[in-house]
Amino acid sequence: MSESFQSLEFCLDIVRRRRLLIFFVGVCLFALATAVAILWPPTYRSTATILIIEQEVPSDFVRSTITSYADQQIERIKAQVMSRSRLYPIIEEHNLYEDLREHDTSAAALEEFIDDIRIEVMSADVVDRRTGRPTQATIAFTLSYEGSAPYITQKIANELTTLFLNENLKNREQQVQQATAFLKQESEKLANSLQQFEKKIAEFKNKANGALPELFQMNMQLLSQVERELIEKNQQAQVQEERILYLEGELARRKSELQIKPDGSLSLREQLKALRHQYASLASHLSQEHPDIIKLKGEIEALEGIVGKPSDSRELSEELKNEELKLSKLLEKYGDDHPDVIRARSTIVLLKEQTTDTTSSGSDSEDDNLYDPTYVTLMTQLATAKTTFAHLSASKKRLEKRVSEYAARVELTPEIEPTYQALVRERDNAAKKFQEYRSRLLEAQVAEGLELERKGERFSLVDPPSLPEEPIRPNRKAIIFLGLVLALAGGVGSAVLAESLDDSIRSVDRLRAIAKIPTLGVIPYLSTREEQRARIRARSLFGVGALVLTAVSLVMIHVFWLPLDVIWYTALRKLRIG
Amino acid sequence: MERIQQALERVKQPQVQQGEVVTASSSLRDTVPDPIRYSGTKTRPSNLEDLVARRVLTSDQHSPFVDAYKILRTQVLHRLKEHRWNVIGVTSPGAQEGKTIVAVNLAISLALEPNHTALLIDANLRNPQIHQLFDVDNYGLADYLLDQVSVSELLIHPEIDRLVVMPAGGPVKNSVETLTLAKMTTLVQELKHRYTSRIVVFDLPPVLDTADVIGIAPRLDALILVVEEGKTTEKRIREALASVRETVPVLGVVMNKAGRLSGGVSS
Repeated sequence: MSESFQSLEFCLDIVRRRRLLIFFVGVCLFALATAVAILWPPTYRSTATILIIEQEVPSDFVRSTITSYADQQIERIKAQVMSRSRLYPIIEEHNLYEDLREHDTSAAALEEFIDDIRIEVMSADVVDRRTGRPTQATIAFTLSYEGSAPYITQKIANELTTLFLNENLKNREQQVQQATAFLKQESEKLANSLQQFEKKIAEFKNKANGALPELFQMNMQLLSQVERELIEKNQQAQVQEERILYLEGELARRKSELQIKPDGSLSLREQLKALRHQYASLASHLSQEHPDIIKLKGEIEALEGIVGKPSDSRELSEELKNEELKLSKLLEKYGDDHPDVIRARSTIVLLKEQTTDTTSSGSDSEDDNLYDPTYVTLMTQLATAKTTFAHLSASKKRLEKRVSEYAARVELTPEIEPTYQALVRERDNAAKKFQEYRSRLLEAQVAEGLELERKGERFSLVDPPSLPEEPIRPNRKAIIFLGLVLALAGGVGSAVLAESLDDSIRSVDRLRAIAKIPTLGVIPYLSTREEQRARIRARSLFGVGALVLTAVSLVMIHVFWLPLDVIWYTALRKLRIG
Repeated sequence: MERIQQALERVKQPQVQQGEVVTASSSLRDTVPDPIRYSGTKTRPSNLEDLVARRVLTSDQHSPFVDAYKILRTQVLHRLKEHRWNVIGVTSPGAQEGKTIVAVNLAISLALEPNHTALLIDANLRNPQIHQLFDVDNYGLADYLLDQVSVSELLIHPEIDRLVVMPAGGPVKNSVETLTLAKMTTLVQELKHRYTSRIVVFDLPPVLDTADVIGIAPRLDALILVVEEGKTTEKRIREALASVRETVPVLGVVMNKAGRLSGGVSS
């Protein structure tokens, strides 16, 4: 307790000792601070608040093609706006930073200008709808400009705001238009390639000639159907064949029935035939005048008179052929003059004559049977059966051809399938992609409409730059307060400094410690009456002097600088007291 | 004119003074000195108000200033008695630290105590001041040492009981040589032994700026070092003490002008 008291006493002592120093340093610092506070040129700030409005149509319905976040956009626009080409005209138009432009480069002025523009983003804590996590969303930003004159400051802030908003609109329009154009181009490209694929597939189908995998099932069905038909036809043909055979058999039987009379003798025709054979064989080795020959001739003529001339040219030609064959064989063995050869030759000549005779006579050997109704019926049936058979075999041939055709198709199908499938797949892919782009393009067109109609996310000026009434800097009160603190601190500091530099003895304790000999006494300072009087005089003089000085300086300020009342109200206003 | 007349008078009556001193010394065997035995010495009426204005004690009435000197006196007496000393010098490390006032007031304070008489000698031959304080002519020690003037002629009784003052005279340039004259030794010896209850107080020049104190110190019993609060630096105090340590004991230090900044005290 006593120590702290002592130290307090000590401090007070120091203050008392150094009061003049403290006073002067303090007053000087305070005066300086006050001067700074009053003389510091004011800086005004005009601020525009721009709200970022979300798109009005819910994004579930129309999704904008602009996906960057608001603050990204702000940054981008900032970069675009803060360019020399945009800002320098403003500087020139409003004649800003005249000093800098005169004494420094225009770049310095520009830099200063950019420095005076401030963009601050306001964000709010929100919960992301998709992820459910709390995030920060930019909901608005302020654009402010700081200048030395309120009107100019507001004007510049206004211009900057306009620049900013226009830039944003332009940006967004450009962006959506670019997106739409790109999508359009892409979908056109895709349509083209899709067409190409379609063409290719058509060609392929043409070439494949029905062997397409998609027709495989049908081909199979057709194949089996045709096969079935073929089998059917075969059966029918067989039946017809059998019938023909049967009918022919019947016919033959009937014929022979007609030739062999019921008594068992040969028919006249057969007799004639047999006589002719006999004649032929006799004529080969007997002369014509032989009685047998003449007899035979007479018999044949008689018979021919009944039956008619031998009409069976077929038989004659067969005989002719046989004779010719015999002749060639004989010629191999004998010479031309051999009697067998001569005989054969004359037979052939005879036969040839007979042949020409029969063809010229043209009589039908069957004529005899035409008069038999059974035979005729059989003949008719046979003819029908034959016709049917011919039809059947024709259709069989047709069916066989078709079967082979279908079989070929079915066989070919697996071979061409991969190529075809690949083609189809490519086409499908292209089609899908095309569809996708198509729908995207539509969306983008809607989004473009959204932007052009100003219904998308946009910057809305909620608070246009106002005319700043109060400067933001300097905070004169704060400066004065700081000056006060500084004055106190400086005073105390200077006192401490003086004290630390001053080595003079202050206390009896210290004296005792240094001298190491007893302190005999402490004589207080006796101030004489003279001194007291002098002090009082000095004080009153000082007071009067200060008053006079103040009065004189006030009068001088009033006369030479500004009327005092004006200063007073200015000071009050600057300090925001009035 | 008046001063010259007084001086002439002094020159004319050396014997009378000498005789007076001797008689006085014979009567000093008593414990209580006779208050009017300085009748032979020149008596200088003092203007009390002037003395007060010069910070010279005029009474033993209660006041912080007077009390401080009483304490100092007691301390000094106590130590002197202990060593049977009676010649002390008052000095300080530097000039203007109040050693003359302390010397004068200590002498007065000593004189105010009935058991003692005090002789105050201004030995500051460079810058004598005591004659100014008492408003007397500046004839004194230098005249005795250099001009063969007798001591009795130089002593003055300033109408304060039991106090005799000897001004410095001068000023002289070679003060060190003057102070170290053999005559000085004789004088001090004589003064020291003449009256048992007399205490001789020398007002000395500063220790550090001159060699005077070193020169005269061996002749003194002890020194008192006056320091001024807020002015004398610690370094100079140490130096002053160190410079006289070998030659004379230092009785103690006195802190002077304490509380000056807070206005001090009024009488």
